[in-house]
Amino acid sequence: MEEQAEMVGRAFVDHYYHLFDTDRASLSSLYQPSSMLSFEGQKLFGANDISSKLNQLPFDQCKHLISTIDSQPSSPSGGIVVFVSGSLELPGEEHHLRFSQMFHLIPTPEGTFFVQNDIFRLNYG
Amino acid sequence: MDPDAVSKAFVEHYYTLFDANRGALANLYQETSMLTFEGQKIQGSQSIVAKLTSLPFQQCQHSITTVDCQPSGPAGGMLVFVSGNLQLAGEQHALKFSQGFRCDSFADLLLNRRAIGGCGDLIVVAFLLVL
Repeated sequence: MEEQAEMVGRAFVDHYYHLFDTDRASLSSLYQPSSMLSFEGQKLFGANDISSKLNQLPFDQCKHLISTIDSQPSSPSGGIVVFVSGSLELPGEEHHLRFSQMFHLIPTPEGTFFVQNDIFRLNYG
Repeated sequence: MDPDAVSKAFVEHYYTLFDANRGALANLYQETSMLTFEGQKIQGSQSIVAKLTSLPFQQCQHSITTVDCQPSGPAGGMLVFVSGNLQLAGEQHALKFSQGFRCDSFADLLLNRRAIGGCGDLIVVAFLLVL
């Protein structure tokens, strides 16, 4: 179960940030009406509001560089907690922004996963 | 009870214990608990506390910058996400850290049961009741 959590976590992280950097609008497919995002302390509920928030961030282009991915099975029902750290490169910005993000992935009846919880923080300093 | 307040109280309690009496963190974990520490995976309360008490520093001081929490799961689970600084004795610069916790239910966070990095002893409960 732990190995599977690691595999799913890595595959999810690759997919999530690839979409974020190349086709941010399509991230909405990873969330559901019950999903939650805390973005720098702001709480958003549901795929629609989450997607709006992500699409209205004050930059169009960005590149995520992932430093670490840690995953744990969260429950017998197949949930997975994924903890990511990395940096965010914005065009015209000399310095990368460090960030940490935690996801809680829940299996769907179709055999995939959706994001139930998403907490994002920049790490200043 | 306000989940944000409960989470903040849990976080304060966790890091106060970490800084003052690390061995007592055992009360916050159970046999099913998991810790991933800088990529190393550890399972079970005893092993987790053995790891935490054998870290290569005796004295430390956590200062918390942010605490975020979200309910998670049909059983009322909670996720808590912390960022902050870790000051080690004799080190000029503090280390930045982030840490996530999950417990199976909000009630468990309050009442001393099943948790991953969860919450646990009577001190916590007493403290939370005051909130």
